[in-house]
Amino acid sequence: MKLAINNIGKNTPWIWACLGSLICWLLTSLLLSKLDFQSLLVNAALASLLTIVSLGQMFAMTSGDGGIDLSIPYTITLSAFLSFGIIQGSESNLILGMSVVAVVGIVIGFLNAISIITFKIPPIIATMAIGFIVNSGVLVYSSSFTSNKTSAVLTTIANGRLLGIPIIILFAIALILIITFVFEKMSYGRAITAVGQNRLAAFFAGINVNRTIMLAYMISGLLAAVGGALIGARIDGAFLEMGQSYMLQSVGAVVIGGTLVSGGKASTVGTAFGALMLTLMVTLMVISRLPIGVQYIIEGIILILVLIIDKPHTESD
Amino acid sequence: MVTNDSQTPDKKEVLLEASEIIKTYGATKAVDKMSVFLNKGEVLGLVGANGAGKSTMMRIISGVTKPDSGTLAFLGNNLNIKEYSTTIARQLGIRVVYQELSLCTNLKVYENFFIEQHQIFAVGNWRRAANEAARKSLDKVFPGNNIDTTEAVSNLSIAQRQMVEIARAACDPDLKLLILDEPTSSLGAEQTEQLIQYVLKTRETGMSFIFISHRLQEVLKICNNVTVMNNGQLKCNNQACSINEAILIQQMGGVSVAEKSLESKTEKRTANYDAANLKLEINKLETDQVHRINAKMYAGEVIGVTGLEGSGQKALLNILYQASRKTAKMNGISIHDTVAYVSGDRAKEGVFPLWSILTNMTITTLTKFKKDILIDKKQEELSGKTWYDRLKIKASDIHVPLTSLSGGNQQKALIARAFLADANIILLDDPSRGVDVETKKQLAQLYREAAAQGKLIIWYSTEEEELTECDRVLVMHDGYLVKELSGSEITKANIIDASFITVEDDKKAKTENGEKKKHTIADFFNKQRTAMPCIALLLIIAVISFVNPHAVSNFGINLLIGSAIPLILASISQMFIIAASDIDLGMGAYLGFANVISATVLIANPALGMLILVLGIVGYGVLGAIIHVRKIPAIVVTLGSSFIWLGIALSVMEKPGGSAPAALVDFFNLDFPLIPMSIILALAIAVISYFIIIRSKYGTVLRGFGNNPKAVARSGWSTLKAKVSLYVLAGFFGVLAGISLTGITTAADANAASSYTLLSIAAVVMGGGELVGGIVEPFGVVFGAVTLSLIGALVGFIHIGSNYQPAVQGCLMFIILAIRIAIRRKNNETCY
Repeated sequence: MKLAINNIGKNTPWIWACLGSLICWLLTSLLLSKLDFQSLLVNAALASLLTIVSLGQMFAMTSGDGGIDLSIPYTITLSAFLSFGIIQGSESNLILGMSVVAVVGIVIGFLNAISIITFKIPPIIATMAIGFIVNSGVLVYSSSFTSNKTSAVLTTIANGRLLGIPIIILFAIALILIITFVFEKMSYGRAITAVGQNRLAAFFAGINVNRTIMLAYMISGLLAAVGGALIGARIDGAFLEMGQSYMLQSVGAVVIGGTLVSGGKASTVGTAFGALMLTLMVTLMVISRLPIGVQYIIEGIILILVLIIDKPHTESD
Repeated sequence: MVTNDSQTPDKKEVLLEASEIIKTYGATKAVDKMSVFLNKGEVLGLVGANGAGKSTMMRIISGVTKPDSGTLAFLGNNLNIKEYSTTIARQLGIRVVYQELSLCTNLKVYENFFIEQHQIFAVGNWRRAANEAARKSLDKVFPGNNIDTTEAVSNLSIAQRQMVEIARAACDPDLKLLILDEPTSSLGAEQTEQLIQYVLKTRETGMSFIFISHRLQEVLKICNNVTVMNNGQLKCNNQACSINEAILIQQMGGVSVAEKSLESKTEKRTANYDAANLKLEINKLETDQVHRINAKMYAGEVIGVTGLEGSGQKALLNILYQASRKTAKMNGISIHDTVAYVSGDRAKEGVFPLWSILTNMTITTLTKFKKDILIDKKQEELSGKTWYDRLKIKASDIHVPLTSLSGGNQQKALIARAFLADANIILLDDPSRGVDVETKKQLAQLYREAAAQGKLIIWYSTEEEELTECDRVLVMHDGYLVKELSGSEITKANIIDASFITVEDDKKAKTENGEKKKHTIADFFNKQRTAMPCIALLLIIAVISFVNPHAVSNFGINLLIGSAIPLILASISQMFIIAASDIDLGMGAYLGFANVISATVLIANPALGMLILVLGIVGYGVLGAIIHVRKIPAIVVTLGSSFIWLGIALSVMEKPGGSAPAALVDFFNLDFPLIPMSIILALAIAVISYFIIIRSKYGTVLRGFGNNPKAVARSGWSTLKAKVSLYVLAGFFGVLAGISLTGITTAADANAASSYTLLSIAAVVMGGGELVGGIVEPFGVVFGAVTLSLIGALVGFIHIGSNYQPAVQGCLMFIILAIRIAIRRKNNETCY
């Protein structure tokens, strides 16, 4: 019996983020003195955007060896600008715009991976350096920027509803299903968790380590780029620093969700709940009219508390 | 064997008596009513199969593990087992040389002596004293060793590290009992002999030893008594003079020699030396580690590779595997079939610690040759189960974590992994090191069966006896293949003889000289980690003075370097965190916090302002403690703390504003006649932090902690204290950084410093620091920080627009790291 309970905690690391989300939502409802499903949906929609970006971060972190993608915020900003700049409010430019965005995201991921693999630069530094370069790209591109319209299709995905449910939630759920499938049923999922645990062992077990890592960062870049275009569509505009809050939040969502920071273990569903919990927490604090400073303090304390309470992974000796 | 130890046993003084010791882990009894008895001046051998409980027993005697029950007595005094600890054991004079090495590789050899034996070097010039002690002790145990005690341990070979480890334990003047856990497994023949002589000599002076080894000949040679453990229990106590290897093997639960010799030598010679059967051909292979290797290997062979430790056997195997994966260009190797590899160093290159036995075993079926995109879980379970049963892996279930098994059983799973790859060539990297006799036999049989099925087995082993199962044995020396033995020539004696054959080769001498020349530049940059950031700094100053000669005036420099002071301090702060092998992602927010407090509260109410800043430093200590106690990655904790710092700063002051204390502004405007104030300040910061982390005694310990916390803990230092110290130092310099930001900008903004987080990490790494391993260079950090902040000025001077500043910073970081890593790679090849 005891073993069974332990296993639940072990195999479902997302349970805590799920509980945390529930608590935040209940507290919000308490403040508004009604169970507000609409606000839950709105928050889930916002969380979906964070989820898309965080799932990319999850791939980077799972690849191990200090894996992290700090270029995500810059990729988000750049792709938001690009999507506006290329699409210019015309649907005929949608495919071109999204292709460019996707390619740019993948190329950024590729550059990250090359710096990490070929030049052996630690991921935190490599993605930071590439991020700086992308940031310059953003600054240059935005300085001659005029468009303020994106595609209606993107806006619909980001803001529209289907049967009362925000479409972006469905989009995120589809993505979660695909990535869960990758980790559960595909050999790439095995490969990346193996690489994340022990690179040398993975090499000696016949895994193409470099290709696995490269793919992880390319996925991260792609998801950040797609997320950036959607975020831009949702807020109907692109501005400098718009991706900045996603740096900490993407890492936070992944970690709260139960993915190991040291790599080798991913939790797709957990990342989604982590994103939801972070989003609900912000809403809760806004509703409770706390000063912005206090909000940040509480957010920080909760993140640290989650980490303290969550049973850390300890290797048996 | 005749010894004269048994003559007057009643006169001997009892040193250690452990009786009825019980230790259980969950349901398993690791040690079950085990007793150990040792006289002063004697050597006790402790042998037993894997999982017999020897290591647990030694951990109990050395105070690492607390027993459930039993009694311990040392020199006639009963010890309280509840309070017994490593510290008490050390005070009593009990020391252990562990199987896994416990040196801090970033420190020099003598600094490692200091860390372990710090009580000796409490007064006077501890560096000189420790160096002398290290020299003396190394020469005492291993005469004629060529170990430079001022060399960093990372530059030593594994065997040399083991020697340092042993000598370090032996240099304790109060040593009464030295426990050696498999000390010879990584030593060469000469050092092993020296160690044996040392033990034999030292026991005459009244010192005692416990010697744990699978090498039974050594045990019999060195020990007065041999205690055999089996399943956590005492099996037998023997006088060494009255027994032999065969008896010991039997007592440990092995087969008798008679049986063994009947079983072996069967089914050999299944190989057929046809060209069609040729699986692997090596033709004049020449690399850094192996020279002019020629060999042809055929299907159906078991080929042993051996020689003295470090003669290139492992390197050869590695090269063959890399060639099969085409991850390295290799002239002279042609492989005609699929290759699988069994790693010898389980923890480092074998085990996936988060996975079950099954997943660990079947990983090769998913990735190797059948390039399936999807996983067939039923098939996976089936094939895993087959090998699990076939190798008789001892575990409660195939789905339990692999790490919960004993070493030998883990090894079996790794061997199953290679066989599951269904490759036709299998490379074995010393797979049975430290594995018990029974398993070894089982494995040897497995190899023979595989060969009979037409596979080619290439088997590197450090234990000559095992290799009698081979069809051919290749003996290496100094990277050369010096002898090939086959059939009945394969005996232990022949292998050992061949191991000492040296090759007279003028080409060898030539390449060695050539190599030395080739590596001098790389070596220079490796040892002088500050050289690169220094060059980068000089370059950028040169460019600036070329572009804008006015900038290098006294005033200009003061302005340029002065604006770099906050980044310098922030980077030094980050350096202390990185010295703990952590990263602080909250640095920028913390700077904002100190910036805001010093520009507001500190002016209105200096006492309160000071108090808040001190609380900030305390907060850093608490963060360090949380990270240490809960073992949470620092990246995410500091990420969380960044919200807190930002929140506090915003609560104090929501909009940018405030002003700088007058004294602070005056301080930054101080003018010196010759050297600009800012340069003096920057150098002072570098010198102070250099003394703290590099020169000081405790700083050395802190760096050791960043490299190998376990080793530092075993030497009696508090790792919690070390972690908290590093974080408090970081907090202190962070506050200084925030205050200096106030002094220079004469205003405050909670968000102003956010870019400092990443820039400070960049400065530490550019300055020669490593993100793991406790390697930091304070001077390099200062150079790196100045360089990064000068880039801003440079971009301004050459009118390419501030939009490009981040890109230039990013590129420069990239270039410096890429160059550094390219240089280092020549010395330290990574394979994948």
